[in-house]
Amino acid sequence: MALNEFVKELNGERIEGEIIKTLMVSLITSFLTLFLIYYIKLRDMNNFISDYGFFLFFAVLSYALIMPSIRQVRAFKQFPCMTGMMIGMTIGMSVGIFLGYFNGRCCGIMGIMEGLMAGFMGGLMGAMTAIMMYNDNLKLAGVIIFVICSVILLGLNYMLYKETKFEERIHYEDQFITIVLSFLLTVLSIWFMVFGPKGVLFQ
Amino acid sequence: MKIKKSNLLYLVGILLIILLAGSFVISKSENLSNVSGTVYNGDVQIVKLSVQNGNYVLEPSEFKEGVLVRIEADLSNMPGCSRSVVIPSFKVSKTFSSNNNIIEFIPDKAGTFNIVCSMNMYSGKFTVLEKNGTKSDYVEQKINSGSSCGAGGGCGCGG
Repeated sequence: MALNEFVKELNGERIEGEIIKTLMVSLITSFLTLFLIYYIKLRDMNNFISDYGFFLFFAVLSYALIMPSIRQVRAFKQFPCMTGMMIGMTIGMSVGIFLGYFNGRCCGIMGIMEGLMAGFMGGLMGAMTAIMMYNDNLKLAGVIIFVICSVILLGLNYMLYKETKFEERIHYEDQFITIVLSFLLTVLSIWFMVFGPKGVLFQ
Repeated sequence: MKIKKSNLLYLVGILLIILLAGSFVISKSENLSNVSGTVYNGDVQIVKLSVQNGNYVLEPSEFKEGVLVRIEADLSNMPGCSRSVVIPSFKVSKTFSSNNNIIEFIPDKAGTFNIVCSMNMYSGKFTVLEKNGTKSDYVEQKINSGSSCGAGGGCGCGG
């Protein structure tokens, strides 16, 4: 069964064998960035951790889950149209418009469009849901959404494996992109949360 | 299933990082809410909260700084999301229900402040007087009313 093979490949020599390592590299980069910025700039800010800690913690975990998919996509460069749509949509809805575009472009205009639309929709829906749920266990909902997104992203890893099972990897790279993207996403998240415009409920 | 040694190390590392970061966040977090449930043995300012013409009305609408305020909501004329009340300046938020219609907080600064519903559709104002009874010049900036659902008090539209 393909799922068993996929699990086996997590220990193998293919790109899937790098998923766990990529996850850890991303986690280390993001948390290091977060703690450095915290100790250099934000330590003296009143209630920084209690106001933003929970959300930044889960944002960093989400980025770490997204990075292996990005690496997997980059390893093969070319995918069929339908796969491109799925990649663009999944990653687009997870982190937004730019990464959706970035990943969806491997598969032509369909992938790009799907990435743009999903990122746009996901970003707006996230903000609106947060406002609507402000008094209704927002943090608990955040954890549930994180778990569901994690399962979907793992599903994307599996789908990519199935699609590329018989193909040769065409792009080899070190963890540079993982580190750069994790760093940028973490910095942007901190900037948006702390210094970006806020709705009245989060002021 | 046999796990490759390097992957096992990575997994342990991931778990450790998450545990360390998670415990740091939890240990540094503190409950900031000063909403209800506080046992208070001093004076209490009792305020009636209701909705009229899509706005919150507080009677009386002036409180003293440093004295506990108990807001009692009249749910009979508070529809939809007007029952979800937020006072951003004092980090107060609560959703009223028929058996829990009270908010308590201690205003620790003087001025004129906003009270809004959780979707920013219903709004109102109240004034906190200085400890000596004088009125402060501070007026909290008006919150732009009307959320993504449009104006008019209709909450609950969504994606």
